[in-house]
Amino acid sequence: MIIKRLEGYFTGFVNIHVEGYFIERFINMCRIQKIYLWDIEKKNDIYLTANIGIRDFKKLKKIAKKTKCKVGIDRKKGVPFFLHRYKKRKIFLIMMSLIILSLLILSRFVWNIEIKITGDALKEEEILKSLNENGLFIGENKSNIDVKEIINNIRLARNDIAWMGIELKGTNAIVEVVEAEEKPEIVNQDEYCNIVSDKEGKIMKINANTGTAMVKPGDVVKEGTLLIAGWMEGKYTGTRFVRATGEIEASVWYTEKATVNFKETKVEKTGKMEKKYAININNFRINLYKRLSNFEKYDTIYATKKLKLFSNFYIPVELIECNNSEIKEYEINYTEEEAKEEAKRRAEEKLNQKITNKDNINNVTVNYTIKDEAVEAEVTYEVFENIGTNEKIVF
Amino acid sequence: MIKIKKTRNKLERLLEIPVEVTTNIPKITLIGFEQLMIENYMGVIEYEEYLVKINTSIGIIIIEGNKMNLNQINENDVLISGEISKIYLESTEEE
Repeated sequence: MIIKRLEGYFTGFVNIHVEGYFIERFINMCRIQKIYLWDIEKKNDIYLTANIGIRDFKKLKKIAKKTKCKVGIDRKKGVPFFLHRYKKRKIFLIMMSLIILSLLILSRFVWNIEIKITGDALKEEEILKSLNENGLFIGENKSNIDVKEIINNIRLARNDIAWMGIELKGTNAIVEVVEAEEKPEIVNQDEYCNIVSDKEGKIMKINANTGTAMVKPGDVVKEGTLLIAGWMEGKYTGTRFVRATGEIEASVWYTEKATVNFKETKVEKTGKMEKKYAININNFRINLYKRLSNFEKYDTIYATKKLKLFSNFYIPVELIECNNSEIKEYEINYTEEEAKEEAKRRAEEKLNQKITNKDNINNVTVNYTIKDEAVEAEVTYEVFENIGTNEKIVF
Repeated sequence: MIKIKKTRNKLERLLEIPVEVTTNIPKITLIGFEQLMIENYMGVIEYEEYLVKINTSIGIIIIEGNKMNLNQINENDVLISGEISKIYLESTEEE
């Protein structure tokens, strides 16, 4: 039944009214002629409305004559009538076909590159750059893109990529990159090696398990100084090479400087925001606002959004959202003590980012230099650390 | 003309083919109090908003109610919708 109704919508149907004294006979005649009627409604004794398909409507004339009923059309419905209405609207048709054509053409290009990276060290810009060099860029015809070749080229050129996949979905190119883990340089157990310093510092304790200690506690070493040599000298055996092992503890200094002016201007957000929009089509920008801003001083954050029709069908139009947030500037006057505190705090902040283990901090020294308009604080941390890395002995 | 067939043969009985498919006996389905479907009907005798009389091979079905429409009509089925209150069956078969 529903199929019949759907067919009616696609082939067209009419809403008719029947007037006459033998309406039941009319319905029965329709049944015998295999005419499908639906939504029959009797308004009063001699008046009836119903729906009927276009093709069957022509047959009604005979039946109406036989049953002495009057048949008239109230409304025409369905796809054929709908199309007929638009036959005369030529500009509409042209625009419609233009839109469909442009969609078809647009869908042949890549309009967005989405990069998914697993790993920390890889940067999106770098990968985008190497993608562009190898022929995958925004605006490229999809049929010109050879995914396999691009992947091969990039993987040959870069050795920090373990795996790479490019998927073209609609106008969206999804690039997945897995970072290669850097292999630590494994020094073979059989190979002879020295221990050299990897940091600048003062030796506190040195304990050579195998090998010969070359520095004494209290010595100041630079980066690359030999700490434990990979050979041993015996009375009877002579010089023989070994793999040096041992523990070296040194106090390493970390220094940071920070300056604070007595007069500083600070910037604070007032919390007022306004949003403005602009449209970007291939670097041609259309602003959708008239005035620049109501605020005297403000920060602007731009956020660009690619427009898309469906989930993966991007079009080469960008919507730019400008978020203007009002800011207020005011001056702070530090006294000497306050400036010193502030400078020290800033220097320590920088240092804390460098040092991972804060328990080993042995000594903190702070030096202040007072200039005309500023205070400079120099904070030095003395940290006990194990230093030394293996280095292969090259004969 | 439509053949009137009221009995099933052996094969149809063995395969348990539904009665209304193989014979002309009507099947009346009432959904709630609002929709009544009659399969294998033979004609509409009378149709008013408050009364529908339907002819079948074994008798006449009289339906009383309010605001009744003939929702769908084709050669075998008729669907009546509206506020149905009474259904009478009038057998025309002579026994």
